[in-house]
Amino acid sequence: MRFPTIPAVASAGLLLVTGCSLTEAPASSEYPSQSISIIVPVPAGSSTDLSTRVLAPCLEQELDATIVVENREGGSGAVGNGVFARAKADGYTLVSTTAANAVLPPILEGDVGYDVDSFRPVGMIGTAPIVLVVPAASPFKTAKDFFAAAKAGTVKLGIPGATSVPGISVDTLIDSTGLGITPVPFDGNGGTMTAVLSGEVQAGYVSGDAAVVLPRVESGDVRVLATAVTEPIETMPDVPTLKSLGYTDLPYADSFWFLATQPKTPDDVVGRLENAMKNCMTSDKVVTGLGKGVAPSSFIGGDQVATLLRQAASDYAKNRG
Amino acid sequence: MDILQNLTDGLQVALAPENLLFVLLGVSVGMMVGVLPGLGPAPTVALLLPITFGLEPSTAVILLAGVYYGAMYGGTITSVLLRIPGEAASVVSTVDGHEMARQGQAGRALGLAAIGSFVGGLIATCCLVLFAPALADFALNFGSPEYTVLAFLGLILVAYTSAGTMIKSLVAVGIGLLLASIGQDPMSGATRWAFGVPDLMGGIDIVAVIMGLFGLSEILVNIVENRRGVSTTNHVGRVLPTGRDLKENAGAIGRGSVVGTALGLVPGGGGVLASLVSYGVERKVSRTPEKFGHGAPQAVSGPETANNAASISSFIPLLTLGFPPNGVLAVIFGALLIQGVTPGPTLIFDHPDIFWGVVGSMVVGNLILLVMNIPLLPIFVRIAKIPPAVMSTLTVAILVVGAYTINGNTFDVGVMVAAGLVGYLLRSIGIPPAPIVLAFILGPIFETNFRRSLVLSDGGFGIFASSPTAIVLLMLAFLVVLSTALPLIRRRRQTLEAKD
Repeated sequence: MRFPTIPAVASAGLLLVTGCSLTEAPASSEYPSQSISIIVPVPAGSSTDLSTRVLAPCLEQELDATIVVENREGGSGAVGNGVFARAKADGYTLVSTTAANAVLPPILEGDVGYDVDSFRPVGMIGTAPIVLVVPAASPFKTAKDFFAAAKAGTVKLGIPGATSVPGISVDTLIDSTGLGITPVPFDGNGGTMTAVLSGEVQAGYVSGDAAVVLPRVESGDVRVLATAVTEPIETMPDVPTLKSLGYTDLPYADSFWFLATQPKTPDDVVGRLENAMKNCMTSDKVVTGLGKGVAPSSFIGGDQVATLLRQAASDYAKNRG
Repeated sequence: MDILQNLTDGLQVALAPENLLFVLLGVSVGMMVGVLPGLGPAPTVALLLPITFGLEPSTAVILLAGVYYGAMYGGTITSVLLRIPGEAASVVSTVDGHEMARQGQAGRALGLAAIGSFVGGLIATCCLVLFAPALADFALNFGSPEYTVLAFLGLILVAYTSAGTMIKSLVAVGIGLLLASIGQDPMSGATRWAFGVPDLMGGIDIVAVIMGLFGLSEILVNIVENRRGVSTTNHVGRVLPTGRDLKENAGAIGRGSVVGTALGLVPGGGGVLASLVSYGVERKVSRTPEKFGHGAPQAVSGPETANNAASISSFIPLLTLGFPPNGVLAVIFGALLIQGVTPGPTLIFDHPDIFWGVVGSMVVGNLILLVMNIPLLPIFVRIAKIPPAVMSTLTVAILVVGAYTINGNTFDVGVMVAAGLVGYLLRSIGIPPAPIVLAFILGPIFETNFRRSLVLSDGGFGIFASSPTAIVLLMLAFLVVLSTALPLIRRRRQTLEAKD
């Protein structure tokens, strides 16, 4: 069953406008000469959607064009990303998607009308590190306690969904180490955190989002034992990375989301977009709007994102294939 | 004191100009569809869904709730005056209510029904205020096993209490469960029943299904059956009941309130069941049961009280457990999801404005209905005679546009139309749509929690009886199954004995 969220009633009308205009692509030197739509393949109100809507007004100013954020949810991103991949490569239909939504559906489902090569990233919008959390009263005081228990027996570990990035990451961890961890999928970060707090599971493995997880960390309801990213998290310098604990073979586990266009888009259009992105991602207004720890500390451009995206794709393909 | 404070806050929410407008709009629309034969509250609420997209969550629920209990008032009018039920929960009143109208006492029947509805509505609202927060508090401690057993009990009750034979309700529940399994497997993430169609990979949209099953199929049924109101009486007479009338009906209204409030809570129950049971109760306690069927006022005041009380108490399971007990509440469940609010035990704490605002609006709405009912009677009689062709065309147009606006996706329009056609076909062979929708909502809750519990217990079924709550719920489910199975067994034995 799919749960709907706030639909873009207004965007229904705008969709028609932008849809019609796609047929007549103007010379790229005049770019942009019409409104640009950014497809968000997840529901309105999700963290990808919210940060895209924070970014959009700034891009409007930089590019001097109207930007329409369009939610096309469904199929874990497959529907919206498919619409994006089929659109004309003229810089007027962009996508704002997480790496997981860009990479996983083609790996898990086969032919969904796009794959990792359908995206030409323009720049990183935000990241959320994956964190291992336990309730405040947990006997696990450090990551060592947790892994000692995991080695000795079975630890129930809450994850925000079987095909979520944490879910895949923990599968790899179990496969490569033989640790006695049983992953238990819950309904998103919210459901997982509820289960961690009520003690239904001993620990949770979630992306540290600003909406659900980080506030619980700040309030002291949960303790972060470790993080799955390669570099320590800026806001939590004392938390060890799994890599530093000796668990190296993990897939790329940062949850990140980025703006992309189609590969065949003219280079000058992509250059124009990347430039605008750079100015926006370094503006105070956008950085504050995105929230603490979400925006990268310095702008991460298209090529760098592309490298990360391919790395994530090959890691996940190896794991699920 | 806490409750009083909350209630005051709630009344403030309900009396905010925008919300007051939408209470008024809701109850007026509710009255109208109640009066209009054919279009019941569930299709109407489904029809109004797209309008709520742009509203505040509390306003959205206030509007839809108003339609629901408004229809309970309106349905009586058509039943009494035209002898056609304006909506299903008023079927009972076509007998004694219309009989009273033929004896020139239409006003007396309508007045008693309105006052009874008002009292029943207030009593049910009080129960909502008193019990819902405590129930939600209790449900906060529910883990996966408790939710599994609760959803299981809910599914059984839906099949057991829905209109139609039990086999057909079970078939409907099965269809709902199958439809819900389209999309991602909640535990492994594998795709089920998508046949490579990306639009199906995320499952089908519950709102589109509801609009089709309740809205479109209803229209189709109406067109085919060509239901039409034939006015047999326009003479209304004195509406305000006399003191003696009130005294004679106080018992019926009191009993109706209790029966209605209780049956509103039961999954698959709601107004129809409440009014039928209340009629039975009144007939049993009456000293003059022979008058029933020939214009007994208690046969109108009791059931009409009960259906309104049920419509209001049915909000309790939705707002505390996240379980919609009937079709209308299933639509309101969908409306809340669209707003990004998942109904469940945390709703009262996370969104007090929704809960207390809705409670406040029920008090205001019932008052408006009581006052509006009497002077506007002639208008409602005229509404009942709007040609069905006009209504149907308008409704279909709204449904198509509405389905599109859910996600801005033409696929959802297809889902809505398909659900409408399938719903019509199923109804024509006696399979009701409500259990389909309820199973569609309860199924994933059951499946996810069932499988998650088994992961947590390493495959042991003992986890489902690991807490007192789970054990009590399991026993209830067992009792329900037993109570339906026993008569079957007894009958089987009798046939066997007869053969011997």
